Amino acid sequence: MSSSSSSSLPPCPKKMITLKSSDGETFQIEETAALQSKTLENMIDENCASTPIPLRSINGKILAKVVEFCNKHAEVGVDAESLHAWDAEFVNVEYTTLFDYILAANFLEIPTLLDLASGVVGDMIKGKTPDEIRKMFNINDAFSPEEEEEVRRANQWAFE
Amino acid sequence: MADSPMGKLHSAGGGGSSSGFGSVGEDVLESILRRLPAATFASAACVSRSWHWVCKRILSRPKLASALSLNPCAQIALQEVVDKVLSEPICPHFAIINVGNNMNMTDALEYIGRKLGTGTPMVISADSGIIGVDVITNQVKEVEGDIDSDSNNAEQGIILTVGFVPGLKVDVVPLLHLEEVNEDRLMVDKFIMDITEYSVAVSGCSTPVGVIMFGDGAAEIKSAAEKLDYAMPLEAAIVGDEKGNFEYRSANDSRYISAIGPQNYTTSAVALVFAKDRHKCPGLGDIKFHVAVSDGLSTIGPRHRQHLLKLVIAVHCLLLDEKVRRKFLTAKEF
Repeated sequence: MSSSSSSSLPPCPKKMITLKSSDGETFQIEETAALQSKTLENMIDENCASTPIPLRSINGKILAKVVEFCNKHAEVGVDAESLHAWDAEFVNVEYTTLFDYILAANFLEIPTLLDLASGVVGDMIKGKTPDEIRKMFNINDAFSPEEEEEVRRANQWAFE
Repeated sequence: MADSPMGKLHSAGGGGSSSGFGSVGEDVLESILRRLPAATFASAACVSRSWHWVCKRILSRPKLASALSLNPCAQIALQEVVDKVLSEPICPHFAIINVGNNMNMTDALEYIGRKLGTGTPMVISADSGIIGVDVITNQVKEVEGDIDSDSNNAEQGIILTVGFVPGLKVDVVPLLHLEEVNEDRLMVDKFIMDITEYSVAVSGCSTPVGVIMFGDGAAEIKSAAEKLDYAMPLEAAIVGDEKGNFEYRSANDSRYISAIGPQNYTTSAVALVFAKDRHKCPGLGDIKFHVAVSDGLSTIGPRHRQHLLKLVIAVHCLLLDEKVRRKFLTAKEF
């Protein structure tokens, strides 16, 4: 019978790859989920993913979140609305953590995560004056008065 | 601002703050800033040295942003096209607006002028038929029209094109038509002199890089165009449309007008003049203009009108070199 033949075969094992963070933690991720990262996709294509992949610029705390993000976005049957809500919760973190997400997404080339995290920081800036932005993010790398004048003049259209 | 070596940028980026933006790398900053709408992007460019340099890197190539709206409500249509072209980083160096015959050009110019800044030279012209990429569908749409037709569809619609041309300066120079007691006089010589003088003042060279002319359908400006063509060397790209109604806003308008004294005049044509900026940053490439003549835009619409095409060609084909155009197209496909 067909049922016996299918049950006699073990379920096709999910292909896993292993990622290693800068502080030595290892994470297992399904290949299908990992494919959201262009960097990992290239390594898989070139058969470089059979041993743990060291990610020296991403620490364990962030890598755990990135793996979680990729897993969620690889899930089948999640409707757009609930994924959107999940994303909103995912980026509801301090902006320094958002920077870490952006850095990781940039390195791993995960466009969805890069768009999401960069967009959230962008939204924080939207409509703010240069002064407000400086205060908000504690930026002290100031222009000289002459430079400031020149830069303002070049962007004058937006300040009218 | 003088060129800052990249090495300096990193130390400047430290900025004394222990966390947050002070410590982020340029990659992160670039990823955030290149997604900002134009006005916030301009604000971001004024935040600090490192932000300024990252912004300069993001917006370093020439860029055209263009959008079309067919919304029957003029106010909404205006708002839609402005929001669309300013939804990503761009610094408006000039604007060309084409509207259906139904739109009040003065109001449209006023509204767009407020959004793009008073110093931005702009030309608006009414055309019977427009073509462009729709703000809502992102598809190329064409509205055909006829000046004599009563069809509502042909009378509405607006397309706004905003250009960023680093290394060039742009202004609108009017061709005045004096209404004297005995005879009317088209001030063609003054027109050519104004263009030349503008170019000299900006670039130190009497030949502008490119000229796009917009003529008044009622005036005979062919002779003016011929004279201009004769006065300019071949390397100056000149294109134009003689049939539309137009209005304009120039950064230096009073200069062109005051010379004629207190006489009655009308404006028969305007020239959008592009001249090399003598103060452009060293290392910045030159923008070249190419004139291409086309008898159709293929696949779009059953028929193409000559005057319509001239504008489309002027805006989309002449301004930028091949490489940039390709980049522009890819960006739009994205």
